[in-house]
Amino acid sequence: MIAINNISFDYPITDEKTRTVLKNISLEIKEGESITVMGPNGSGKTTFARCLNGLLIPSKGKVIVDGLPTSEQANLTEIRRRVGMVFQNPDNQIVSATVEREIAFGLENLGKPYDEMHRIVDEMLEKFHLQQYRKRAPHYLSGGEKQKLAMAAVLAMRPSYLILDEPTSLLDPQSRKDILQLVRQFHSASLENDNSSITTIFITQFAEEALSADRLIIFYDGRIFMDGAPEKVFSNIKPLLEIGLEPPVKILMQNLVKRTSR
Amino acid sequence: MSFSLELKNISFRYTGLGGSERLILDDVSLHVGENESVALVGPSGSGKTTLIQHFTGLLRPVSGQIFYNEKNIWDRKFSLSKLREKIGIVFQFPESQLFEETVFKDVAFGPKNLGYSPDEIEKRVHEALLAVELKPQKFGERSPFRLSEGEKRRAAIAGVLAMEPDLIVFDEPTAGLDPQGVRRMADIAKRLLDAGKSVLVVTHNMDFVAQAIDRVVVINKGKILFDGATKALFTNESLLDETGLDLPVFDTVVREMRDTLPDVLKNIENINELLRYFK
Ligand SMILES: Nc1ncnc2c1ncn2[C@@H]1O[C@H](COP(=O)(O)OP(=O)(O)OP(=O)(O)O)[C@@H](O)[C@H]1O
Ligand SMILES: [Mg+2]
Repeated sequence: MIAINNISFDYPITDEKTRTVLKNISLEIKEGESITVMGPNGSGKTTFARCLNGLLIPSKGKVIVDGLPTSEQANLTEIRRRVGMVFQNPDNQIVSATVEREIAFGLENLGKPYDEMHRIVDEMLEKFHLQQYRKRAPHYLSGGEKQKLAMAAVLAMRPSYLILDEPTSLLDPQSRKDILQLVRQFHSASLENDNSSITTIFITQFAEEALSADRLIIFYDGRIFMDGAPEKVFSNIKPLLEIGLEPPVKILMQNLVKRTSR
Repeated sequence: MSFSLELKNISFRYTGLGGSERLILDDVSLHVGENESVALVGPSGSGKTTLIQHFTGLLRPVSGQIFYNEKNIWDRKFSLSKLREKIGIVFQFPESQLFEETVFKDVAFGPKNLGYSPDEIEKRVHEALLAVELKPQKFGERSPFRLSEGEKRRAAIAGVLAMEPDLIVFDEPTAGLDPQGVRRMADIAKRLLDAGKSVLVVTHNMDFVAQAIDRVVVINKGKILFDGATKALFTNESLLDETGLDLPVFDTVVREMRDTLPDVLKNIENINELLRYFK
């Protein structure tokens, strides 16, 4: 479980001034959940995500990952092993000279035996349709391909929690569906061999992508605006439109059909 | 203000490690004229970004020619820097084109280089920031590197808008933007067209295309498969299938629900009209 207790976060602007971008947020992320996070640009989604794996430490309050507070430096290695994160901009995360090295990198750091490492690298290349690029420099990949690579490298390490910060924003519709499918697969396959469940936290601007999650959390202006089952959250059409978000077209249409047939 | 950009039989390949070669663009021909709106669509890795880099000479084709207003841009006498004043590109990763200390300076960079007066620069920056909904008072003095991802994209778009080029090329302008931001982008494209400019967008967002763009060019594996009216593409099911392109979400949902829709709702044509019912 990740327990988030009354956290606030301030970015420094100048020596004296700060900007508060997370405002007293509390929630619990339970093992096995699949969560979607949505919110307008600048509402604090990325900042929140970065607090979950200790990349940012809250200015107030605590984040506790499986009993380990992120505020203690000594916990950070273990926390980052458990909480994998795919960044919004893949250029911020890809470090290796070739595609296959990028996937092997984290596994090496975990001390995986050579054979197993190879097996996992091959599996990931295949799952993410990157085989033909294995020897290529990531620099020569398209934006969407980089997003796939970043995801493959993080998933290879089998984190307990997986945070995906808009991982599909540059992908074509087909690749987007493939990736969503994979994320779901990793989520549910891991539930079956119950000792290691992957909890997924998926940030997106596509309302349609939220429907398959158990839980939808809406951020607005550094606070949690709504939190609940996706259909339930999306049924609050007016409040969502007012903060600049849109429920899926299907839900809007169904609502309208209901209203006009009354 | 005449404008014409013509690519004739362009091919391009990358040479990788050990001399391995990969053909990225395969005999591509394309013309963008004055006051046109064009969407360039196709799967990830199909060559879209590579193609637009040829527009301003950022990449040089291995064969084929490129003409700006009938002049070959790879002619010795041709000025590529002048061309880059006429064609502005907003790249896929906004960070790659933000570099000044403040958002204001960043957006001012282009107009300043073009030699405009301080008053004119101020005016253009102000307008450009308002167009992308970054309040100048709130964002002007902030560092562009300390913005959220969607805010960075808006700032990068403002930077190119402020130069007022004849053709603006946007590479995935709606990626990472919230729904209101996407709608805003469609307004920006329409406004540019009203002002006589041309717009070319690389995008996967078909709802955005349906809202703002008249002509679509489909590219797959480095080849152009379709070049025609947006409406014609949306009715060409075999091509959509073949290239893995989607209809706009709105159209897909309406098709699925068609039989269950009461007559009064059958005339809703797009998402904007749908949203009006909830105002
Ligand atoms: N390094 C930074 N320094 C100062 N302020 C920042 C920094 N990074 C982000 N901010 C500000 O913090 C707020 C929240 O940003 P955050 O990146 O968490 O938003 P987001 O919800 O992820 O937005 P997006 O949808 O655009 O990715 C924004 O107002 C942003 O301008
Ligand atoms: Mg973000």
